[in-house]
Amino acid sequence: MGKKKGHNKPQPANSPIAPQAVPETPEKLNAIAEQLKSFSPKKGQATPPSTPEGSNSAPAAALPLATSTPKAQEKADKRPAKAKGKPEDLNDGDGKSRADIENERKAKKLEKQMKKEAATAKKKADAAAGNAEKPPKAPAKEAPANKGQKDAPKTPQQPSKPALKKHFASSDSSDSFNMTANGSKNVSFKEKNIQPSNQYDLTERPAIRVSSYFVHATPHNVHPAFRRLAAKCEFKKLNGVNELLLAFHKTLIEFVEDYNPRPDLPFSESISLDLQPQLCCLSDNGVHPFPQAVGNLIRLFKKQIHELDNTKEICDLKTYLKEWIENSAYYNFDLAEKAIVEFTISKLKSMAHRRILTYSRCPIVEKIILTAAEQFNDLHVYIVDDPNNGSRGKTMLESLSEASIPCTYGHINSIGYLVHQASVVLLGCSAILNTGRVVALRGSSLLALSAQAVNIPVLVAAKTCTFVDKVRLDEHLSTALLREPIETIPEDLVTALVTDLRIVPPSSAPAVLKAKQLGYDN
Amino acid sequence: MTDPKPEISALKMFESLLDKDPEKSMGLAAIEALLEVLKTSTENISLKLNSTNSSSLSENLQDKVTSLTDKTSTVQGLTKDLSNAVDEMMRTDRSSATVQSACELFLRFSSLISQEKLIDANFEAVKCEYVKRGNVFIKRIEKSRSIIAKCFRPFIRSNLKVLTHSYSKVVLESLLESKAHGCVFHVFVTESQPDNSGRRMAEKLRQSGIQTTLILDSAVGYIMESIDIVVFGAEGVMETGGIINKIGTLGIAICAKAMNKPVYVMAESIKFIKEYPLNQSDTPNKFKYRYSTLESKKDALDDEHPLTDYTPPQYLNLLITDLGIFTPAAVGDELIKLYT
Repeated sequence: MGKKKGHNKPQPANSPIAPQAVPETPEKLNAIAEQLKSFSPKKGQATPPSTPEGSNSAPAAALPLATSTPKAQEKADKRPAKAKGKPEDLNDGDGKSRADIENERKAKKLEKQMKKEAATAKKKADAAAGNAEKPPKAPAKEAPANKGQKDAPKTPQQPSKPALKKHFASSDSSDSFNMTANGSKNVSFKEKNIQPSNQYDLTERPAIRVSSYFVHATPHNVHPAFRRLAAKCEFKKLNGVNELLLAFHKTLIEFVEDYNPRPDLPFSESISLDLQPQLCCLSDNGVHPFPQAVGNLIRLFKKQIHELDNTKEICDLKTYLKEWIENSAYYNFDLAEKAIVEFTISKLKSMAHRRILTYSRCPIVEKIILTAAEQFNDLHVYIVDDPNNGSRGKTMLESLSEASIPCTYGHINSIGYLVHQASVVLLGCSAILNTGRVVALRGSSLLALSAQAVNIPVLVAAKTCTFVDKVRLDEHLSTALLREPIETIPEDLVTALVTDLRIVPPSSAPAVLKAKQLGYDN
Repeated sequence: MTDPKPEISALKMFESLLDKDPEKSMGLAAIEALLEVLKTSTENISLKLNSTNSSSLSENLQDKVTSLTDKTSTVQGLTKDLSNAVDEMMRTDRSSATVQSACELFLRFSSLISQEKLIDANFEAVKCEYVKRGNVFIKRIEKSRSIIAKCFRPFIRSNLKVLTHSYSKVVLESLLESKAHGCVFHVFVTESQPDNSGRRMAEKLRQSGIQTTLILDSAVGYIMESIDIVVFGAEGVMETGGIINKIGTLGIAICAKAMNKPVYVMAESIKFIKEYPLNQSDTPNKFKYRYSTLESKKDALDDEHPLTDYTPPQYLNLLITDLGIFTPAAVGDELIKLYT
């Protein structure tokens, strides 16, 4: 589904918009469901849609459907082309199926359109009648009054303030919202698309969808290890990409261990076929993309499966796969971290004052600092933390204090002060893009930007397994397992990437990709 | 059996080569000195082996022993000899960045012999391979300055005003070649204290008929608005894409960037160094100070004036080398190719 500027949340039950006609809901939805079915992909095992029943159970009464206009028909025709490959059968207890949400969006669009039309018609009528009411002045007076009243946007039935309505209709946002005293988290917006930046809109869909391969995930074909992993992530037991990757390795090993191949297919085909529902279960059928490093691991794993020699014994193949996963964990965690720590310490050695500024908690940065503290006496660490995102910096603070390292702790508002005290910035990352942009926790770019302003170097600890062959990410979309908000740091703010191969400028990211054969064409 | 030749001091050879021909590239001189060490150590070691022939071991065993020692200790011994020579040459008061990078690249290139030849028991053949490859490398390097000069010609148009810093042989050769091909341009050279090397550059340029002006180091800001391009040589090119050059380079580069004048660096590929400095204090001291200073004033370096500075890649536009014309970002990749 294309991303629209005014993307909408599902309507709350007490919508101010009154349903305009008796909705012919079931038949219309059936028709739409039929159209969607005809566009579903040939691959995969899409089960027959259960939409009509599902949507009937949904709060259909609250759905205003202006079904009478011909425009709705056109839109319904255009929709399936965009919604190509969407599963309409997966009702994981969401409450609303996708068809419902589509209908809501359609309805809203139609209403906006109708409002606009009515407004222009009214304006023409006024102009014709010689009513030279100037739009800018009137709304200026009316707007504060309106805000005070907290009125709902005018429906076409109220012709009293045509100019004002036009102003409202033409601007994309309604001016009415409730602000609680708190401001940040408990904001309830009556109609619009404003959301606090730390939370993800879980109903949002990516603009460009890569996978189109769907398998219905049931409790029967999903290994419990994957469900456990998903549950852990849900309950925030796994923080950060590093812990997630390690846990993912273990999960894969469990899966391979317990796997019994299908009798009619060679091992590699059967295991790749049965891997699909596991991944679909985790990523909600490809809607939520995996975090980049996890995606890399999955791709390499699939490649290994492809290259398996099917003539060998099944238990041999299984041990081979398990060994590969264990090796990957060993290289990418134990060895890689050691190498990164060594390289960073060699850089810290040549500094006169070792005052490190870091953001939230990255396990690699923690290791670097703990190892450095053994060698250097004059280390001082400044930790910047984000209180909205779990205050993970506090854990880092505790572990560093236990090692008797002098630390200073501050929230993100104290960056301007802390950056003047520090002499180097050390950041962790969750991925590195092809252009050298760094994908990291939201807030890291503030450190990089302030560091550039005071001319201190920015080092990013990046494991080579986190390099991806992508040029951009949809940062506002939540990823499949981790729901932590991320952002990208532009490559000109980063002085060096410390990888386990060597210290590398951000512009050399493609060289690392090539060296590790992580490119998509390999 | 002739007496073994006296041990050649690499440093003395290096210095004598440069004294004979002051225009010679420093890196080239270092490499030639190393090649001499290579050749002479060959003869020394083979002589040593022959002198043990008179031992009482049976012939077969003796052959086996000598062949074993040929493969293992002598190749290792050779590498050891060469690295000793490099260390010795680093004790020069001339640019140690150039010496280090040139020697390291030379050693890597020479020892890039295929496995089959190494397994072959004939040690003499292995030695010949080393020397042959060394000569090939030297021939390539001898041409590097002229290749750079050719690459640079399209950048010079008539009536251009060029600013350069201190005395760089590569820049000199490139400007002379452009003049020889009929371009008319005006060169501004900074005096470049403390050793006044800009004066030498200005004289050489005037001798070949190029219109030259010698300016004070402090007058760079004043003159920058009328300059068209800025050209530097380099003592070393870092993995970041930044350069190490005579002190004052960073200031000129920043001034040029502020006034949007392009900055070009000319450096031979033997000057690529495998270091990643983050800022001025992170550049190794051996590049900043001469060896004698480091020795005499190990602890009181804070009072010493550094002779070079590090210009980060964001102030440079292009690097013109004998391997081609690169942006600073691409230098890192080239370096990796050279060093693997």
